[in-house]
Amino acid sequence: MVSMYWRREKPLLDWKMAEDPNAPEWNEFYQQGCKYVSHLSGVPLRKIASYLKSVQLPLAMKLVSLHGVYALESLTRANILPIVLFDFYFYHKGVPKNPSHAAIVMEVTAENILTVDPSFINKERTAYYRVEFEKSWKILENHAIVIYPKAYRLKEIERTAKPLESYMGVMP
Amino acid sequence: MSLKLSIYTKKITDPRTAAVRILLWRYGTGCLPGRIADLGDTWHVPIDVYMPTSVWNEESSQEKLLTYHLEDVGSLELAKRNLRMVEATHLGALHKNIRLRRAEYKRSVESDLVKAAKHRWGFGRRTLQHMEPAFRTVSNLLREIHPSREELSAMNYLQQVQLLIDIGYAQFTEEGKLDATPKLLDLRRTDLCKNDIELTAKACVGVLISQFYDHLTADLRLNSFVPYVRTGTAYYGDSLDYGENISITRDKIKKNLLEFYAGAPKVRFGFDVTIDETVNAGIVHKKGRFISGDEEIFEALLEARKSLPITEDLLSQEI
Repeated sequence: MVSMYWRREKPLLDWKMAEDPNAPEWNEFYQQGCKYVSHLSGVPLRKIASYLKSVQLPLAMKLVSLHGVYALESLTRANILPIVLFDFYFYHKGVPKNPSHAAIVMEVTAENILTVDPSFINKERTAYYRVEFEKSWKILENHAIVIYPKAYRLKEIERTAKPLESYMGVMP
Repeated sequence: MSLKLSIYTKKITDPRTAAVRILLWRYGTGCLPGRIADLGDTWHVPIDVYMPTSVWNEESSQEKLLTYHLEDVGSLELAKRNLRMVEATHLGALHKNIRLRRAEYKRSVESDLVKAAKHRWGFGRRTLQHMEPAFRTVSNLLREIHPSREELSAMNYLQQVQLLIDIGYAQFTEEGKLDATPKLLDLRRTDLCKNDIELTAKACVGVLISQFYDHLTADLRLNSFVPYVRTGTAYYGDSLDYGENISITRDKIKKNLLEFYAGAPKVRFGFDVTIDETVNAGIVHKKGRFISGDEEIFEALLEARKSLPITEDLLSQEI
């Protein structure tokens, strides 16, 4: 879905795929990609990276542990749509049990995270409440998959999660 | 065309974040670290897997999505110095462990099913191949034929006769002759046995299997009734996951058999005959082209479901 988005968004890149998402190439691309999904332990993300390389799309993939929801916001503002991994069961029930849920973040507002969630048959936008989402995202240590054109240069700026007191020697 | 973009990421300072990253990258999105232990120079991270699975009720075409939580199916060692991976379970080994653990949970249904189906095991056509000593002894006792200990020993019947004594269906008299107990005579008078000697003997054999299944299969190496137990487990495994007495196809039962008992001695022929004989024994029932379960057995097995580490997925209701 993200690859299709980039195909439309950046048509001047070196694409070997048709612009029409219903073209047979996309079907093949999708079916080949599904072979990497293991029903036992989920999708090893290194396989997605190697798959993108093997199909020669002008896209790269990175697994990042974002510092917070504001980092998601800055990505969506730059029109890069990250795929967030969070615990869907925890989001609804408060018990960690389903960590393999993924959704594409479209927009971050003060109250909601607007996503396209492929788990639902209806592919319209799904809104997740920001506070609950943050908690369920935290279970997977704020990890997100960023798929972006190879021409982009993504610079990671690492920030510690230590509170100010720890620098003042008050806390260990 | 080139665009420079900065993203704020967490500095990886704790072993959990480092472990989550490695698990997602190497093993898959269904893995999370368990309780991390300090091993001096390294952190030991056990791998927990949340494995989604689905069960179909073929008759109503409804699907339930379930998640198995399998603890400690592999492990990682992280160096404390730089939080880099030092040692890890191979992906293939992790998958093998997951399969084995899941089959183990499924087989835990087996022991409950053996207890729940009681006398029914005696009505399988092939059961008597290995349970003939018990069957003949009970038949003889009900025909007022009382064999002595020496006669039973000469025919090599004593091992199974001892089980009949343990269960309270037979006893030796002071003269050293085997005799039926009031319990066996009561069984004969029940609605199930209808005063019929053959039916009583079969029911008696079924109860014997139900009570001493492990001893019969592991110690005495008797296995003529094992296909019925496995076929029953292949059905009730799915039906308990679903939480209802569902209807499933024969093909699904065959598929389950191959999955649950992978690595077991392979007798892979005569699936259809075995399923038919399991139906005749009353362990499962035929419902048109589907196979469904027995209400009485299913109720008895429902308790077992509580002990399985599964939860129903929230998306079940959406589909």
